[in-house]
Amino acid sequence: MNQIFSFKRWWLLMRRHWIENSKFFLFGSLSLLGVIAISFMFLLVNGTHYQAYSECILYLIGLFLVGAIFASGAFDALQKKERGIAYLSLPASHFEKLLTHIFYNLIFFTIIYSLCFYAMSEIFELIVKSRVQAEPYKYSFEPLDWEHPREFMVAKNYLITIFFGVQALFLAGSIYFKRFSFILTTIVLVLFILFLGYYINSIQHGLLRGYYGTGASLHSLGLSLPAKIYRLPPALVFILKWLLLLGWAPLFWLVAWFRLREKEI
Amino acid sequence: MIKIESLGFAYKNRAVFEALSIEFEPGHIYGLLGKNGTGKSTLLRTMMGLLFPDKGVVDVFGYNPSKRRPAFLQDVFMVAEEFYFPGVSVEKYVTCNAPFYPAFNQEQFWQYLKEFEIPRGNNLDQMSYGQKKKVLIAFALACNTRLLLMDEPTNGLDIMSKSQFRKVMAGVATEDKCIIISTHQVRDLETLIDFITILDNGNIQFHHNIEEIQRVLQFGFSFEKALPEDTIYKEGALTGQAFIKRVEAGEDNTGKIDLEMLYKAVNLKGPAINAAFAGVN
Repeated sequence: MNQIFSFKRWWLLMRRHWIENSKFFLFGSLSLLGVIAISFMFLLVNGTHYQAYSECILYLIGLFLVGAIFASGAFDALQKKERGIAYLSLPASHFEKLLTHIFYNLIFFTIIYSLCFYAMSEIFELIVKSRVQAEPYKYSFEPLDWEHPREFMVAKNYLITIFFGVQALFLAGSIYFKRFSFILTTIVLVLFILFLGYYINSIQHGLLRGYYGTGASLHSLGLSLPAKIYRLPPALVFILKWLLLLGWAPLFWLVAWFRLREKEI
Repeated sequence: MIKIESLGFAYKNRAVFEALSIEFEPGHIYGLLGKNGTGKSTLLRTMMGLLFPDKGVVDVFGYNPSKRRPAFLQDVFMVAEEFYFPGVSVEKYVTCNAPFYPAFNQEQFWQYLKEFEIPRGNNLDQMSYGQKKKVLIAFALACNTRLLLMDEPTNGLDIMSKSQFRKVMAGVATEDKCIIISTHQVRDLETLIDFITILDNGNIQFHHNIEEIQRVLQFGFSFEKALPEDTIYKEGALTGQAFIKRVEAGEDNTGKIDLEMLYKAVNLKGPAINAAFAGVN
């Protein structure tokens, strides 16, 4: 018997998770629809010039925020002794248990959230278009223009990878912190971003004083010519870029897996 | 077989076990007794792989429980004192949990529920604590795991349920199964247990089977003031005195063992009890 991964056991876990949480998923989806509807109502009430761009911003904010809240409750079974005993003594490997949560938090959540958002956004656009039709001098609607994309449209692939990383961080946080995992993980994230900002700033004003950077290259600012240019090999730039973009999620999943293995109740 | 050697375990600021060594064999129902905080639940959770030893070895059927491997987990079950059920029906609970245990027997499960008088289609979150506990016990027994750990299984059960519990448990002990029941309510399990283990301050204070106890100790009651010379422990009752004495050489002792009195004797007259059992294995 494979002690790390068995498709049969994983399927049983996925089914168990679905059966035991189906009511929560149903009510959760209904509340999500409600919250999205309220957000759209604010857009409707507070303006006459509607932009599909605003919907996309709303979608991303919701995806990150609700996704983080959902992920930080993933391992809430471990926060209480009685639930933790049942969960940890269930005959499945830690990897299978983690994979189940990754599936429900990343794939299942994203699909449900997107469907809810899409449904509400269709209704919103119907209302907006009928308003525009009825009073074209008062209301206007600007659809997304992919030929002249705005910043976030260009960065959508990066945003998706960042979303994976944030989700994975909050998933790991739900195992790490016994209580208030959402708040504590948010604090950790904010501190990390502040530290990173400070660190980059220190390097720029300390080690790299007299240089300026463009992409993956550094140029010296010396008065004497010729100026020096330091450049990383393109292959290394490519690897580093995607490692930094895609590496966070696997890193936090690994952290979560180790923490789950070490978990004592 | 379960082998624990030199087990050391401490919570953040409290040591529970220093160097505990004990063995549990299949084919027995062990009664794990001890005062509050002596480490009974900790020992069960360590055997289940829910707590990791600081030192020493815990070996359960050749597995290290701390690894929590699926092959190990599907052969052990723990009925915890505090337990959790999702808000689903009994049938749904069985559908999604039973397949994890290869030896699970559906027929057995429904039979136990019938004996416990639990309606089949009820939702678990609408049941009382006692009813839920009976569902958990029925599920645990139907899993047919080689090791069954029960932490205070009769807590929260009414008088009738305790009797049903004893009846059901009496039928499950087999040669290949090891059942360890931690309890304070010894009277509930008196007729079930065939091995008594008493923990005190993280040490094994007493670990003997019923035959050994009967060979060494005799439980009696005297209506007179005078007690047998070799009385080890006595306690007053309304009409006389209950006592425990050593069985004399050649004396046939088939009398009933009063577990509660034995427990008190071990706690209050430990050295005398140990002296009586010296050389008994």
